[in-house]
Amino acid sequence: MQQEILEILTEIRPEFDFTQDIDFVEQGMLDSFDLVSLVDALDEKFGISISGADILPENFSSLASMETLINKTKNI
Amino acid sequence: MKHIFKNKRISSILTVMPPHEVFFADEMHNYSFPESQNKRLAKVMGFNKRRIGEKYDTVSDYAVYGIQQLIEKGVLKTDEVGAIVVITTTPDHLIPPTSNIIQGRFDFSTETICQDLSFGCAGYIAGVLQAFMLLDVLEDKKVLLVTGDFLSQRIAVRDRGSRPIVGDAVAITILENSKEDNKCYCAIRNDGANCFAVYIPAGGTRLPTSPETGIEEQDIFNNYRAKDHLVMNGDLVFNFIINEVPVMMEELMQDAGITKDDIDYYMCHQSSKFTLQKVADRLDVPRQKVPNNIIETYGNSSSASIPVNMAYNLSEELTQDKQLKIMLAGFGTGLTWGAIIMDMGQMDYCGMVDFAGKHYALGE
Repeated sequence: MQQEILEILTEIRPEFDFTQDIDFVEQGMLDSFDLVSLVDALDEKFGISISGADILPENFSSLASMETLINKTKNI
Repeated sequence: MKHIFKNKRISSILTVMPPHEVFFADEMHNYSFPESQNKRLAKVMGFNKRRIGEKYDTVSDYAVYGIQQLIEKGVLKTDEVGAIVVITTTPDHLIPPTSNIIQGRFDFSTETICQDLSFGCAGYIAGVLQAFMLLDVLEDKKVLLVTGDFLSQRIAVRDRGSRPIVGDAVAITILENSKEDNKCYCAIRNDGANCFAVYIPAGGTRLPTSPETGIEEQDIFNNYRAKDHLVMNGDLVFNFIINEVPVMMEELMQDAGITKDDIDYYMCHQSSKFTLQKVADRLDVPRQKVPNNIIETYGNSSSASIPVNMAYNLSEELTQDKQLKIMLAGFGTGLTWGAIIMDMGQMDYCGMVDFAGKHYALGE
């Protein structure tokens, strides 16, 4: 799953390396519009609808946190 | 806290739109989005086209044109007006109030109450609430509520956070006491601790405009804006809307003793298509009950966006001989958020026009 998330992130922000072990949001790699694009792409890719209440920076700070969010959303 | 008003109605809405239309496709080269993201954002956010005013457009010129139209259509008589309430963050001047300018353009009584209030995207809710309070003392007189902004003039050309969204418009709403026995439920809330989530740093007494405040600077996301321009913390604003607004809407429905299924339409401020879809999902109501097509057609016109939404999507239904149960919801600058549940319908007029009126000269 993380590979698929990585492909989406790279499409949205091709200038950044998302394989780094850093906080994507804190490092300024993703702004609010990037998060919107990301949520839409993840919804589409994984057939989910991420709740607005879950669109928080900490849920998009790393590949692992996004994987956790997707799994959580799938199980609702 | 809820506020309940009895026997009030919105009898007419007319929105006055700038004729000038701009397209996201023509402007996207100004922003630092990759091409693929441009297409995705256009779909998700509703970036498409928007109406923006010219540099010399003012709220009063648009309002005067709209009021003239309403008088000519026989919807309004000048001796019926008891109050003019103007809601805007872009007044014609610091002095005089825009409401006084409008009053002076017509044969309105000198006893007409004139009030200017500074509200942004929650301004329509604040304005209707103010009109309801005035109607409690105005008896058979009507309130002319003028809501709108020309904010596009205060958005930097290379600010991808705000530029693709913001449009301009002015709406005139006529409110009056009703012979029908009805109740309107209102709620309005404020979070001044986060007031700088949306603001314009320069132009007031804290930081007057100067050549320096007009110099654009680059931020970490490659947006360029000056202190004369609006700046918005998009993350904070989105989270505020998604976490606070649906809760308030649900609480107001409980106060009114109704369920979400009793509401025919949720007519919300048009912040973005994405935000409104997520609000609908959070409320667990069908997305078609929460129209979100204004942002892609006209842009986000601040305190005018709710009446633009009603005039564009519901003009036929609202002028028919039936009543709809509508929830209005506005949210934004302040931070302020508010909602109203009321029966609407059998309006005398509900429509839109493009501005084709007079631009008054300075001091005229």
